[in-house]
Amino acid sequence: MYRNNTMQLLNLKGVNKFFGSVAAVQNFDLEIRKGEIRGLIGPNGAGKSTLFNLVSGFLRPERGKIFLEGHEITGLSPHNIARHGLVRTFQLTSLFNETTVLENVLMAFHRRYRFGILHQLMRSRKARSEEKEMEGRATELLEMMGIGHIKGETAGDLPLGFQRILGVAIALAVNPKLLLLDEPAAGLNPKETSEMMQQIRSVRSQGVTVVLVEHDMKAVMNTCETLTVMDFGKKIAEGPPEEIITHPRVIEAYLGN
Amino acid sequence: MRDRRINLLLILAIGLSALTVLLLPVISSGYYRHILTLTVIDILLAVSFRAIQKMGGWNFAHIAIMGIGGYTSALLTVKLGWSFWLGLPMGGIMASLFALLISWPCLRTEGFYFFLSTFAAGEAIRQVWIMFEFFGGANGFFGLPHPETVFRIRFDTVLSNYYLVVAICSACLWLLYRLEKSRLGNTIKSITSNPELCESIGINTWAHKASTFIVGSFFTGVAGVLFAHYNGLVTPKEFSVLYTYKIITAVIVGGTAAFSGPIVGVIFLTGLTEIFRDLEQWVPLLYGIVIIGILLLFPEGLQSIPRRLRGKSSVKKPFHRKSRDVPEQYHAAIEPKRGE
Repeated sequence: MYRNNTMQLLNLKGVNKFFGSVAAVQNFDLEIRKGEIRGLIGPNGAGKSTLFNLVSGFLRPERGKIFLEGHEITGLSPHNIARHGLVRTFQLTSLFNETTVLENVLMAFHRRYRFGILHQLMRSRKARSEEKEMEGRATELLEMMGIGHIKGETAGDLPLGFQRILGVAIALAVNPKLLLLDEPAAGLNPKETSEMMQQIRSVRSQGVTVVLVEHDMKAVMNTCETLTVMDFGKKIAEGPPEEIITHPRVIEAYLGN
Repeated sequence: MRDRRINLLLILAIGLSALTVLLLPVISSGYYRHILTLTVIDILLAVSFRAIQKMGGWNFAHIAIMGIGGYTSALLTVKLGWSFWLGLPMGGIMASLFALLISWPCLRTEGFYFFLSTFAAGEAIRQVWIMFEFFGGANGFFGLPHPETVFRIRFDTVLSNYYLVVAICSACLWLLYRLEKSRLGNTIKSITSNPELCESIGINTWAHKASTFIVGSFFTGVAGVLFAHYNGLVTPKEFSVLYTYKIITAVIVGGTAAFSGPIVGVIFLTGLTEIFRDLEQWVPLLYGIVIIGILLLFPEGLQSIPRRLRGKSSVKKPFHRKSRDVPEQYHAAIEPKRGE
């Protein structure tokens, strides 16, 4: 087991991932502290999404280790990693499109129910009152995220801005310690983007650590304390936003030399 | 107000069909009593087929799994002299165990490959029955006993067996219905709709799929036991792939969207087969025509007709795709443009 540093939540040690002969992620080290908002930026194809997939268990690293709160999570299946408290969202909004907003969140509550299948089959009073209680809590969560008024709508019919926020709400419903957001503001207009960033800051204030991949530089600069910049699967810079925008290697990666 | 009227209609419809199910065999002749019994068993088979299909696979081993139920009970009652009432749950359990066994390799495949692998598993089982003397070879077993008398009810006539089949199948259907409407059923629906999201919120998708397969197969096995004891024999020929086609045709004809779909499908198909009873060699051709016709006219099956009549159709005809159903490889093309 890795030495447990109480300040560190996520730890990557020399993580490698190859697609054929192409190194998507190469010797990657990363340390995320508890309670921070970390931005992960880099040009298209830099390996940001691959990194997310590796950490959340959708891909398996060829070499290297990943620790969450000092416990190794390398090679665990995604649902096990989610149960350890690491929850991710997807780049293309991923929802249960056919069901309502409320039902989307209720599905993510599945670990909180106490009464099992027999109670459900018999539709016992306990199971029904638990169902009511969960609906109440899901509504609370949706109201906190500012989408309580649309809880009865079908998720697939919502405008993109609401869908993105619902995606975050679903992830939050799992009660994560660490939230990985894959381009939460992609395709949103400036107003929706600033609302989304507002939500992310309020999520952090509840004690959830956030890592986000984002292309909108302005949004990232105003939200994150630390930025990690990737290019060709490697970390090329890390530091506070002011430092990063003047960093010569970052400018080179984005603009060429 | 409208809701209450629909509820009243629903209760009336259920009451009427219950009356029909209970009284029809009394007034019909021996042959039709026989057909009715087999139809009720087919309904349980089709409904459990749909339950398994809901987790995302067309299971071509369905009838083989049914046969495992039948063969288990046959071996236990004929060779060991057990009671039918013990053979019934044992048949279901053995069918579940077999599903557990093949779920490990088969559930790792999807779509087309799922039905190929289950088809292979089903045929393998049927060959085992034919090849091994222990299972009675190609002739199978004869002389399965009638269910033993309970509470002074004897099961030695077609009519009493019919009521037994109806009672057991109704109980199974009720359980399957409640399962579908439970949270577990919702989870299964979510898994088919978005497996990745399910994994990322901590749902073990594989375990859920496997348990659906296992639970569904239990009811399939029960149907097999009823079928075997009603016929009094089990042979490999009874559980052939043709029977699987019949059940699948019924499920497609009825539609998989609603619980009632396969029930409607089985009744429709049985009615059709009986009308063309004198032209038996035409029946497989008829099935093919019916499937093509239904897929073109009612892609969601016969169960979608009332909804379409009320004008609330969400039917996607095969040639009209909604924009949301764009295949995955084109996702990059429709992804919103983003600034660097």
